Amino acid sequence: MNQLFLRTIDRRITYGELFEDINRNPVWSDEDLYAIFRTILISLLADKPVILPDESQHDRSSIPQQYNFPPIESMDDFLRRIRSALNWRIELFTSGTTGIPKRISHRLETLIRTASINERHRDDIWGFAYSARHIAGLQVFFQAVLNGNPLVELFMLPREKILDRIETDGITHISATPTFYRMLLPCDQAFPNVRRITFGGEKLDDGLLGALEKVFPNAKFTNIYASTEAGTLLNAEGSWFRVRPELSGKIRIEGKELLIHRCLMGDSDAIELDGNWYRSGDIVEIDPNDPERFRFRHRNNEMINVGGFKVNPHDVEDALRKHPAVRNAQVYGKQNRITGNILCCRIEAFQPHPTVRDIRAFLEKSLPDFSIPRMIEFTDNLETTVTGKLRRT
Amino acid sequence: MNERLLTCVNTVRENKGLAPMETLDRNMNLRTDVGLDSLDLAELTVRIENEFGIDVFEDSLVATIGEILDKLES
Repeated sequence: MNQLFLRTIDRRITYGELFEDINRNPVWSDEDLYAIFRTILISLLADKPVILPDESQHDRSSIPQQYNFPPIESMDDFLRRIRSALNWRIELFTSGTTGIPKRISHRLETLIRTASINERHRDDIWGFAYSARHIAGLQVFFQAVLNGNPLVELFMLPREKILDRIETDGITHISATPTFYRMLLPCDQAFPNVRRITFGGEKLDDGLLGALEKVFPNAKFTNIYASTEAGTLLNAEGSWFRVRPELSGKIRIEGKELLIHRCLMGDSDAIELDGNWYRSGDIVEIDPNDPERFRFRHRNNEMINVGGFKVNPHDVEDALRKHPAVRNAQVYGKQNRITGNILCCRIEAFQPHPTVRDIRAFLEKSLPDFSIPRMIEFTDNLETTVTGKLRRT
Repeated sequence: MNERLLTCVNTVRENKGLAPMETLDRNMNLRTDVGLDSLDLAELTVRIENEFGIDVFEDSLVATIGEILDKLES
């Protein structure tokens, strides 16, 4: 019970303290990371549904405030009761990066579909690098809690703090977006304590993987594909995915788009189905040497038409990140009457900034003319979304 | 007006590795005299719109510096 449950920016809470707090005052609240975790656990112990509003929602009048259940007696009692919460549902909201937030309801089973809960994970320490209000964060939360592991808050912390936490708190596992890891680079430190690095939420590029192998020399790397609507569906060691046998027939590719069978989806009136299938909007490329393998290329609404050529902004961003002075880049289109769009980009560069001419000359070596951004802007920090992804607006 | 347009034109030229022009003449053709291709012209319209708040290609094609100046002055 003295095991650490959560280290936030200013507090350390053990599992013993968590249980006492829950037993004493089982009410809903969401004012900080600890309150959100505590609320989720309270609703699980009561085996009653819970609503987790996202950052933008202020009307909370429909949220039940009080939960009733017998006090937690021990760690085993706690874990057993959480796992058996069959009536529990969590209602969450998509991040709204592609429209109005959608309300999705998930059962525990969906959220822990790919969780690994066993003795081997007893000593794991998780760096928590997502928002707790969205699906990726919840999956990390359950992976940690169901193994009785500590969680260390890293999300939205400055780079130096994150690196310090990884070392001093002995973090062994981190799950985050590529944008989060990119923020840690360049990094001349190495963290041998980290055993697992997981990527999700955005397309992963090999350059990032190569750089992180030096920072986390003992880590295994996993790339996951998940969505708010369906939870985690796929995982892979690099950027190439394969459908696991148990999901065979439930995930398919049609015209390069990934389709997910309705039986894998959470419950929501906002999910539009095409027959029994959900169109993910994620466009993939199939390995020419192995038709069972594929990797993600872009979202179906992301291609930018430049003078009749369809440009994938992710390809241009990947090319930009190969420049030694570029930490991260975001590419977008700007409309005009001559070519439909021209490409523009914002670049997070190391000091001293390269010149616009440098960047263009660098890209000219690998990209056709229409794929080279015409308006180039340097910034200290590229904006990210509440789910830790690069903001694409 | 002329100076600000010259800055826009020269930014496009310098970004593609061409030397800046010293002056602009109304009769200069954007493609043959200023040396801009379609993508350069697209970039120029966006830069002009950022600078002057006017889309010079809004209702017709523009071929010369003079035609741009006419749009900006009207």
